[in-house]
Amino acid sequence: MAPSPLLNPDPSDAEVVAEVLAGDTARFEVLVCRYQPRLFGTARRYARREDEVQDIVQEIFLKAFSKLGSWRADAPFEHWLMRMAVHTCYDFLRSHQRNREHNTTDLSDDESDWLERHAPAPASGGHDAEAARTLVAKVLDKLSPPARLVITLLELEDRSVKEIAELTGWSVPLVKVRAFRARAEMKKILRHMASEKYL
Amino acid sequence: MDIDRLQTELLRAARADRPSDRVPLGFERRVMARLAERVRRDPWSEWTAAFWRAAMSGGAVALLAVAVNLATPGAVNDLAEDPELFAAADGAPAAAAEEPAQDLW
Repeated sequence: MAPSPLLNPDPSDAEVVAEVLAGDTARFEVLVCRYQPRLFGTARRYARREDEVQDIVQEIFLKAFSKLGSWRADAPFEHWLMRMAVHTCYDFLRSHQRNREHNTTDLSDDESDWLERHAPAPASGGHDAEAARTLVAKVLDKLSPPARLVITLLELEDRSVKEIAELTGWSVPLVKVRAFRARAEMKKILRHMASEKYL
Repeated sequence: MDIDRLQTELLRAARADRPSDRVPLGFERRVMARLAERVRRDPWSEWTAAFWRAAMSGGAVALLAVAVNLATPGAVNDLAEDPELFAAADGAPAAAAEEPAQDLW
Protein backbone atom coordinates (compact mmCIF):
# COMPACT_ATOMS: atom_id res chain seq x y z
CA MET A 1 0.00 0.00 0.00
CA ALA A 2 1.60 3.23 -1.13
CA PRO A 3 1.09 6.42 0.88
CA SER A 4 -1.31 8.71 -0.87
CA PRO A 5 -1.23 12.48 -1.09
CA LEU A 6 -3.96 14.14 0.96
CA LEU A 7 -5.37 16.41 -1.70
CA ASN A 8 -8.82 16.82 -0.25
CA PRO A 9 -9.05 17.13 3.55
CA ASP A 10 -12.68 16.02 3.63
CA PRO A 11 -13.35 13.80 0.61
CA SER A 12 -16.78 12.33 -0.03
CA ASP A 13 -17.38 8.61 0.39
CA ALA A 14 -17.61 8.20 -3.38
CA GLU A 15 -14.23 9.89 -3.89
CA VAL A 16 -12.56 7.70 -1.28
CA VAL A 17 -14.11 4.53 -2.71
CA ALA A 18 -12.90 5.49 -6.19
CA GLU A 19 -9.36 5.99 -4.87
CA VAL A 20 -9.38 2.63 -3.08
CA LEU A 21 -10.69 0.85 -6.16
CA ALA A 22 -7.99 2.54 -8.22
CA GLY A 23 -5.41 0.79 -6.05
CA ASP A 24 -4.77 3.19 -3.17
CA THR A 25 -5.92 0.79 -0.46
CA ALA A 26 -4.47 2.98 2.32
CA ARG A 27 -7.28 5.46 1.68
CA PHE A 28 -9.73 2.93 3.09
CA GLU A 29 -8.61 4.18 6.50
CA VAL A 30 -10.65 7.35 5.87
CA LEU A 31 -13.81 5.24 5.71
CA VAL A 32 -12.78 3.21 8.76
CA CYS A 33 -12.24 6.38 10.83
CA ARG A 34 -15.48 7.89 9.58
CA TYR A 35 -17.78 4.97 10.34
CA GLN A 36 -16.18 3.04 13.19
CA PRO A 37 -18.10 4.84 16.01
CA ARG A 38 -21.41 4.04 14.32
CA LEU A 39 -20.43 0.40 13.82
CA PHE A 40 -19.24 0.02 17.41
CA GLY A 41 -22.60 1.36 18.63
CA THR A 42 -24.38 -1.18 16.44
CA ALA A 43 -22.16 -4.14 17.31
CA ARG A 44 -22.53 -3.49 21.05
CA ARG A 45 -26.24 -4.19 20.72
CA TYR A 46 -25.51 -7.77 19.67
CA ALA A 47 -22.36 -8.75 21.55
CA ARG A 48 -21.53 -8.11 25.17
CA ARG A 49 -17.86 -8.98 25.34
CA GLU A 50 -15.60 -6.21 24.05
CA ASP A 51 -13.35 -8.61 22.11
CA GLU A 52 -16.42 -9.95 20.29
CA VAL A 53 -17.54 -6.40 19.49
CA GLN A 54 -14.13 -5.58 18.02
CA ASP A 55 -14.11 -8.78 15.97
CA ILE A 56 -17.55 -7.96 14.55
CA VAL A 57 -16.55 -4.41 13.56
CA GLN A 58 -13.32 -5.64 12.02
CA GLU A 59 -15.21 -8.29 10.06
CA ILE A 60 -17.63 -5.65 8.75
CA PHE A 61 -14.75 -3.50 7.47
CA LEU A 62 -12.97 -6.47 5.89
CA LYS A 63 -16.17 -7.50 4.10
CA ALA A 64 -16.77 -3.92 3.01
CA PHE A 65 -13.26 -3.72 1.58
CA SER A 66 -13.56 -6.96 -0.37
CA LYS A 67 -17.01 -6.02 -1.74
CA LEU A 68 -16.30 -2.35 -2.31
CA GLY A 69 -16.69 -2.78 -6.07
CA SER A 70 -20.33 -3.79 -5.59
CA TRP A 71 -21.29 -0.44 -4.04
CA ARG A 72 -23.35 1.69 -6.41
CA ALA A 73 -23.07 5.39 -5.71
CA ASP A 74 -26.81 5.90 -6.24
CA ALA A 75 -27.38 4.91 -2.59
CA PRO A 76 -25.46 6.40 0.37
CA PHE A 77 -22.35 4.47 1.34
CA GLU A 78 -23.54 4.43 4.96
CA HIS A 79 -26.72 2.52 4.05
CA TRP A 80 -24.68 -0.06 2.15
CA LEU A 81 -22.28 -0.39 5.08
CA MET A 82 -25.12 -0.69 7.61
CA ARG A 83 -26.70 -3.49 5.59
CA MET A 84 -23.38 -5.29 5.77
CA ALA A 85 -23.20 -4.57 9.51
CA VAL A 86 -26.66 -6.02 10.15
CA HIS A 87 -25.83 -9.15 8.15
CA THR A 88 -22.53 -9.60 10.01
CA CYS A 89 -24.24 -9.16 13.40
CA TYR A 90 -26.92 -11.65 12.38
CA ASP A 91 -24.23 -14.16 11.37
CA PHE A 92 -22.59 -13.58 14.75
CA LEU A 93 -25.87 -14.27 16.57
CA ARG A 94 -26.41 -17.48 14.63
CA SER A 95 -22.89 -18.75 15.22
CA HIS A 96 -22.99 -17.92 18.95
CA GLN A 97 -26.50 -19.15 19.65
CA ARG A 98 -25.39 -22.08 21.79
CA ASN A 99 -23.10 -19.98 23.96
CA ARG A 100 -25.80 -17.54 24.93
CA GLU A 101 -27.78 -19.79 27.26
CA HIS A 102 -28.40 -18.27 30.68
CA ASN A 103 -30.42 -19.23 33.68
CA THR A 104 -32.63 -16.78 35.46
CA THR A 105 -30.47 -17.50 38.50
CA ASP A 106 -27.78 -15.50 36.62
CA LEU A 107 -29.69 -12.32 37.41
CA SER A 108 -27.76 -9.76 39.40
CA ASP A 109 -29.19 -8.11 42.52
CA ASP A 110 -30.08 -4.98 40.54
CA GLU A 111 -31.87 -6.99 37.87
CA SER A 112 -33.77 -8.99 40.47
CA ASP A 113 -34.77 -5.72 42.15
CA TRP A 114 -35.97 -4.37 38.83
CA LEU A 115 -38.17 -7.42 38.29
CA GLU A 116 -39.43 -7.26 41.87
CA ARG A 117 -40.45 -3.66 41.48
CA HIS A 118 -41.97 -3.93 38.01
CA ALA A 119 -43.38 -7.43 37.70
CA PRO A 120 -46.23 -7.15 40.23
CA ALA A 121 -47.36 -3.68 39.10
CA PRO A 122 -45.32 -2.08 36.35
CA ALA A 123 -45.02 1.66 36.80
CA SER A 124 -43.52 4.13 34.38
CA GLY A 125 -40.45 6.12 35.31
CA GLY A 126 -38.18 5.98 38.29
CA HIS A 127 -36.42 2.77 37.36
CA ASP A 128 -32.79 1.88 37.05
CA ALA A 129 -31.99 2.09 33.33
CA GLU A 130 -28.75 0.16 33.61
CA ALA A 131 -30.42 -2.77 35.42
CA ALA A 132 -33.19 -2.72 32.83
CA ARG A 133 -30.68 -2.70 29.99
CA THR A 134 -28.72 -5.67 31.31
CA LEU A 135 -31.97 -7.47 32.05
CA VAL A 136 -33.09 -6.84 28.48
CA ALA A 137 -29.70 -8.11 27.27
CA LYS A 138 -30.29 -11.36 29.16
CA VAL A 139 -33.81 -11.66 27.77
CA LEU A 140 -32.51 -10.97 24.26
CA ASP A 141 -29.79 -13.58 24.73
CA LYS A 142 -32.53 -16.17 25.11
CA LEU A 143 -34.29 -15.18 21.90
CA SER A 144 -33.69 -16.89 18.57
CA PRO A 145 -31.36 -14.91 16.23
CA PRO A 146 -34.14 -13.60 13.93
CA ALA A 147 -36.27 -12.61 16.94
CA ARG A 148 -33.36 -10.84 18.57
CA LEU A 149 -32.45 -8.99 15.40
CA VAL A 150 -35.98 -7.79 14.76
CA ILE A 151 -36.57 -6.72 18.40
CA THR A 152 -33.29 -4.80 18.42
CA LEU A 153 -33.98 -3.00 15.16
CA LEU A 154 -37.68 -2.39 15.76
CA GLU A 155 -37.90 -1.74 19.49
CA LEU A 156 -34.45 -0.57 20.56
CA GLU A 157 -33.29 1.30 17.45
CA ASP A 158 -36.82 2.47 16.62
CA ARG A 159 -36.58 1.59 12.93
CA SER A 160 -39.59 1.19 10.66
CA VAL A 161 -40.62 -2.15 9.17
CA LYS A 162 -39.60 -0.88 5.72
CA GLU A 163 -36.14 0.11 6.96
CA ILE A 164 -35.71 -3.31 8.58
CA ALA A 165 -36.73 -4.99 5.35
CA GLU A 166 -34.08 -2.99 3.48
CA LEU A 167 -31.38 -3.70 6.07
CA THR A 168 -32.02 -7.41 6.41
CA GLY A 169 -33.12 -8.27 2.88
CA TRP A 170 -36.33 -9.80 4.30
CA SER A 171 -39.68 -8.93 2.76
CA VAL A 172 -41.99 -6.50 4.62
CA PRO A 173 -44.54 -9.25 5.47
CA LEU A 174 -41.71 -11.47 6.76
CA VAL A 175 -40.46 -8.67 9.02
CA LYS A 176 -44.00 -8.24 10.40
CA VAL A 177 -44.38 -11.95 11.03
CA ARG A 178 -40.98 -12.17 12.71
CA ALA A 179 -41.72 -9.08 14.84
CA PHE A 180 -44.98 -10.63 16.01
CA ARG A 181 -43.26 -13.91 16.86
CA ALA A 182 -40.37 -12.11 18.53
CA ARG A 183 -42.68 -10.17 20.86
CA ALA A 184 -44.50 -13.39 21.76
CA GLU A 185 -41.17 -15.14 22.37
CA MET A 186 -39.99 -12.28 24.56
CA LYS A 187 -43.20 -12.30 26.61
CA LYS A 188 -42.85 -16.01 27.17
CA ILE A 189 -39.31 -15.55 28.48
CA LEU A 190 -40.35 -12.65 30.71
CA ARG A 191 -43.29 -14.63 32.08
CA HIS A 192 -40.96 -17.53 32.82
CA MET A 193 -38.42 -15.25 34.52
CA ALA A 194 -41.03 -13.47 36.61
CA SER A 195 -42.79 -16.68 37.65
CA GLU A 196 -39.49 -18.33 38.59
CA LYS A 197 -38.67 -15.30 40.67
CA TYR A 198 -41.89 -15.54 42.67
CA LEU A 199 -42.20 -19.32 42.98
CA MET B 1 -48.95 -9.94 36.55
CA ASP B 2 -49.11 -7.65 33.52
CA ILE B 3 -46.45 -9.06 31.19
CA ASP B 4 -47.37 -6.66 28.36
CA ARG B 5 -46.65 -3.64 30.52
CA LEU B 6 -43.57 -5.25 31.99
CA GLN B 7 -42.22 -5.78 28.48
CA THR B 8 -43.06 -2.22 27.47
CA GLU B 9 -41.31 -0.81 30.55
CA LEU B 10 -38.26 -2.97 30.01
CA LEU B 11 -37.93 -1.97 26.35
CA ARG B 12 -38.47 1.70 27.15
CA ALA B 13 -35.72 1.62 29.76
CA ALA B 14 -33.37 -0.21 27.42
CA ARG B 15 -34.12 2.21 24.56
CA ALA B 16 -33.24 5.16 26.76
CA ASP B 17 -29.84 3.67 27.51
CA ARG B 18 -28.01 3.60 24.17
CA PRO B 19 -24.84 1.52 23.89
CA SER B 20 -21.58 3.45 23.74
CA ASP B 21 -20.02 4.20 20.37
CA ARG B 22 -16.57 4.55 21.91
CA VAL B 23 -13.78 3.23 19.68
CA PRO B 24 -10.71 1.56 21.20
CA LEU B 25 -7.50 3.50 20.65
CA GLY B 26 -5.77 2.61 17.38
CA PHE B 27 -8.57 0.36 16.17
CA GLU B 28 -8.30 1.75 12.62
CA ARG B 29 -4.63 0.72 12.55
CA ARG B 30 -5.61 -2.82 13.51
CA VAL B 31 -8.14 -2.97 10.65
CA MET B 32 -5.66 -1.54 8.13
CA ALA B 33 -2.96 -3.98 9.25
CA ARG B 34 -5.36 -6.88 8.76
CA LEU B 35 -6.30 -5.54 5.33
CA ALA B 36 -2.67 -5.17 4.30
CA GLU B 37 -2.02 -8.72 5.47
CA ARG B 38 -4.93 -9.99 3.40
CA VAL B 39 -3.84 -8.08 0.27
CA ARG B 40 -0.23 -9.31 0.67
CA ARG B 41 -1.32 -12.89 1.25
CA ASP B 42 -3.24 -13.17 -2.00
CA PRO B 43 -2.15 -10.60 -4.61
CA TRP B 44 -3.56 -12.72 -7.46
CA SER B 45 -7.03 -13.06 -5.98
CA GLU B 46 -8.53 -10.41 -8.27
CA TRP B 47 -6.97 -12.00 -11.37
CA THR B 48 -8.17 -15.43 -10.30
CA ALA B 49 -11.67 -14.09 -9.72
CA ALA B 50 -11.65 -12.36 -13.11
CA PHE B 51 -10.50 -15.54 -14.86
CA TRP B 52 -13.17 -17.57 -13.12
CA ARG B 53 -15.82 -15.04 -14.14
CA ALA B 54 -14.57 -15.18 -17.75
CA ALA B 55 -14.58 -18.98 -17.70
CA MET B 56 -18.12 -19.06 -16.32
CA SER B 57 -19.32 -16.58 -18.96
CA GLY B 58 -17.65 -18.60 -21.73
CA GLY B 59 -19.23 -21.79 -20.44
CA ALA B 60 -22.64 -20.14 -20.26
CA VAL B 61 -22.35 -18.89 -23.89
CA ALA B 62 -21.27 -22.39 -25.04
CA LEU B 63 -24.22 -23.99 -23.25
CA LEU B 64 -26.58 -21.43 -24.75
CA ALA B 65 -25.23 -22.14 -28.24
CA VAL B 66 -25.67 -25.89 -27.75
CA ALA B 67 -29.20 -25.33 -26.42
CA VAL B 68 -30.13 -23.15 -29.41
CA ASN B 69 -28.65 -25.72 -31.78
CA LEU B 70 -30.59 -28.58 -30.18
CA ALA B 71 -33.80 -26.57 -30.08
CA THR B 72 -33.68 -25.93 -33.86
CA PRO B 73 -32.42 -29.19 -35.42
CA GLY B 74 -34.64 -28.85 -38.53
CA ALA B 75 -32.65 -26.01 -40.05
CA VAL B 76 -29.49 -28.09 -40.31
CA ASN B 77 -31.10 -31.45 -41.10
CA ASP B 78 -33.42 -30.09 -43.80
CA LEU B 79 -30.46 -28.95 -45.84
CA ALA B 80 -28.69 -32.27 -45.47
CA GLU B 81 -31.78 -34.42 -46.16
CA ASP B 82 -33.14 -32.51 -49.13
CA PRO B 83 -30.91 -33.43 -52.12
CA GLU B 84 -32.16 -30.66 -54.38
CA LEU B 85 -31.76 -27.99 -51.82
CA PHE B 86 -28.36 -29.37 -50.87
CA ALA B 87 -27.29 -29.47 -54.52
CA ALA B 88 -28.59 -25.94 -55.12
CA ALA B 89 -26.80 -24.64 -52.08
CA ASP B 90 -23.67 -26.55 -53.02
CA GLY B 91 -23.69 -25.56 -56.68
CA ALA B 92 -24.60 -21.93 -56.34
CA PRO B 93 -21.20 -20.62 -55.32
CA ALA B 94 -19.49 -22.61 -58.05
CA ALA B 95 -21.84 -21.23 -60.69
CA ALA B 96 -21.39 -17.77 -59.33
CA ALA B 97 -17.66 -18.18 -59.51
CA GLU B 98 -17.82 -19.21 -63.17
CA GLU B 99 -19.90 -16.27 -64.31
CA PRO B 100 -17.23 -13.57 -64.10
CA ALA B 101 -14.84 -15.82 -66.02
CA GLN B 102 -17.31 -16.12 -68.93
CA ASP B 103 -17.75 -12.38 -68.98
CA LEU B 104 -14.05 -11.93 -69.33
CA TRP B 105 -13.88 -14.03 -72.52
